[in-house]
Amino acid sequence: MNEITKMVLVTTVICVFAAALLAGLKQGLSARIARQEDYYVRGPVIQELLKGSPNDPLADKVIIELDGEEVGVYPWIEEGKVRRIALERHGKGGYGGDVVVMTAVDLETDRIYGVRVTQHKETPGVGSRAADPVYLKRYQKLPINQEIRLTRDGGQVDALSGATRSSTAIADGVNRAAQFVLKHEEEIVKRILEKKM
Amino acid sequence: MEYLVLVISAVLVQNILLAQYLGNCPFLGVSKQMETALGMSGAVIFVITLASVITWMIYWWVLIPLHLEYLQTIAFILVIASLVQFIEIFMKKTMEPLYRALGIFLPLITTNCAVLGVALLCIKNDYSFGEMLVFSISSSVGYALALILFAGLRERFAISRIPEPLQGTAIGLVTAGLMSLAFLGFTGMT
Amino acid sequence: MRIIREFTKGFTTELTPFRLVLGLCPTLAVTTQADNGLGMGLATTFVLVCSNVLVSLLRHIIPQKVRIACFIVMIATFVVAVELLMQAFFYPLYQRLGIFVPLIVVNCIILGRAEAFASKNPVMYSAVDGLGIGLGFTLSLTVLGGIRELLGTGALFGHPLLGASFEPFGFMIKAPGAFVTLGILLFLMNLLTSLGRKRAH
Repeated sequence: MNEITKMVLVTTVICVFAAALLAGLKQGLSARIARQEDYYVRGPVIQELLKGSPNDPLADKVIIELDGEEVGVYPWIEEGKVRRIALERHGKGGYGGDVVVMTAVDLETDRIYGVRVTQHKETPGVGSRAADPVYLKRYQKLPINQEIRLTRDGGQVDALSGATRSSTAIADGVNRAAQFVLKHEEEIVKRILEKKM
Repeated sequence: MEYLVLVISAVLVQNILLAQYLGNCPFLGVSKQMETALGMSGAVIFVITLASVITWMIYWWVLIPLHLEYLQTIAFILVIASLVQFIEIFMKKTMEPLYRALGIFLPLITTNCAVLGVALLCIKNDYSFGEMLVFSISSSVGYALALILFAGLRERFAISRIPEPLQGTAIGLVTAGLMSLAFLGFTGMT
Repeated sequence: MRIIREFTKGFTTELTPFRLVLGLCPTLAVTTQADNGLGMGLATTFVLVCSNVLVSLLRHIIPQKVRIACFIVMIATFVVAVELLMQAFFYPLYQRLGIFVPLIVVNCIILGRAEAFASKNPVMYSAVDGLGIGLGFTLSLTVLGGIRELLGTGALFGHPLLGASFEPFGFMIKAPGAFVTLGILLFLMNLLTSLGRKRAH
C-alpha cells in the first residue's frame, strides 16, 4: 500500500473511532450530567428560594420547550396543586455579560416570590453587590402582569447605586421569567402535573 | 475602560504563569538564558494570539451550531497542533530570519499548556471577540514578562554559590515562588 | 521480574514530578487540597493507562510520520471521556479542577510515555508502566496537596486536624506557596539522594 494512503487511512479510522466512542459516551451520560449540574449548580439556590416545599423541586423539574427555547421549571407542589415555580433566565446588559437569574413566581397571587442570581461575571465588590439577596428582596411581591423594570426606565425597582448595569441585567432576567410565566402558565402547570402523575 | 481592566488583570493580577500556573514546563526549561527566553516569548505571544482567535471562531461558529461543545478539548488541541506545524512551514518558506530566531521553539509550544489554557479560558469566561483578542494578547504578554524577568534572575544563578541539592529546578521553583509572591501584590488593583 | 520493575520505577527513579520534572502545571495548580491532588492524579492515571495500552496495541499500524498526531487524537479522546465521566459522577471535583481537566491533554507525562515507552513495548508492559507512573504522580500530588492543605488551612482531606489555636498560613494555598513547597520538596529529595550516595561510597 502506498505510504500516503496508509497515513490518511489510519488517521481517519482513528478519528472516526474516537468520535463514535465520545458520541456514545455523551449520549449515555447526558441525562446524568444534567441532573448533576442541577443538583450542584442550581440546587442550593432552589433550596433557598423554594424553602419549605413539601416536594423535591429538583426531582420534579420539567423542561418546557416553547418558542424554540428550552426552559427548566422547578415546581413547588402542595396538595396536588402547583403553587409556586422557579425558573432560570439570562438577563442581558450586565457589565460582564449575561447575568443568570433564578426567579420564583407565586402562581396563586401571580406575583414574584423571590429572586436569586445563579451566575454572574460582574465586577467583584461593585456590580456583584446587586446579586446580594438583601437587594433582591425589592423584587418580592411585584405583580407579573406588568413589565418589570428599574425606576430609571419607568419601572418599579430602584437600581443599586453604582451598580446600574448589573441591576438592569437582573431586572431584565426577572422580567423575562415573569413574561414567560404570564404567557405560558397553563401549559407549564399542565406539564408539571402530567409528570407528577 | 473595560479593556484596560482586562489588560491589567491579565498581565499582572492573573498572570497566567505565576497566578494561574499555565505553561510551567517551558518556563523552567527555557529560562536559563536571556536569549532563549526572548525567543520563546516572541513565539508564545504569536501562537497564543493566533490560536485563541481560531479556536474562538471554531467554538462559536462550528461547535455551538452543531451542539458539539463537549468536543472542544479534542478540537482545540488538534487545531493548535496543526497551527503550529503550519506556522513552522510557512515561516521557513517566507520569513527566514524570523524562523531562525523562533523556529526551534515552535515544536515545544504544542505541549505548552498556556496555549490551550488561554483558548479554554476565553471560552469559559464567555468573552466576546474583542475581549478574547485583548485577553489573549495581554495574557501572552504577561507570560513573556514573567519569563523574561525570571530569565534575568536565573542568569545570576551561574555566578552565585547555591548548595548542591538546591541547584537546578529546586532553586528555580523557589525563585518563581518569590516572584509569584511579588505579583500577588497586584491583587486588588482592578 | 521485569513487570514488577516497570511498575515500581514509577515510584522510584521515574517518580513524576520530582525525578522527571514533567507535568508541573497540574501539579502546582490543583494541589490546594489533598483530595484535589488525588482526583487529578487518578484522572491522569486513567488517561495514561488507556493511552499507553492503545498506543502499544497500534504501534505497528500507525505510520511513523503521523504518530504524534495520532497519539494526540487518542489522548484527547480519553481526556474528553474523563471529562464526561467526571461531570456525571464527581461533579464537585470537576468544578474544583476547572480547566485543568481538559488540560490533561497537554500534560507532557502522557505524550512522553506514549512516545518513549508504549510505542516501543508490548501491551502488558505498557499498561503496567502507565499504572506505575500514574500512581506515582497521584502519590506526589496527594502528598503535595496534603502539605499545602495542612499548613494552609489546618485540615487534611477536609477534616480539621491542627485545632483552633493553629493560625493557617494563607500563603500556602495561594500561588507562591505551590512553587515554594514543590521547590523545597525537590530540594529535600535531592538532599536524601546525595546523602544516600555518600553513605554508599
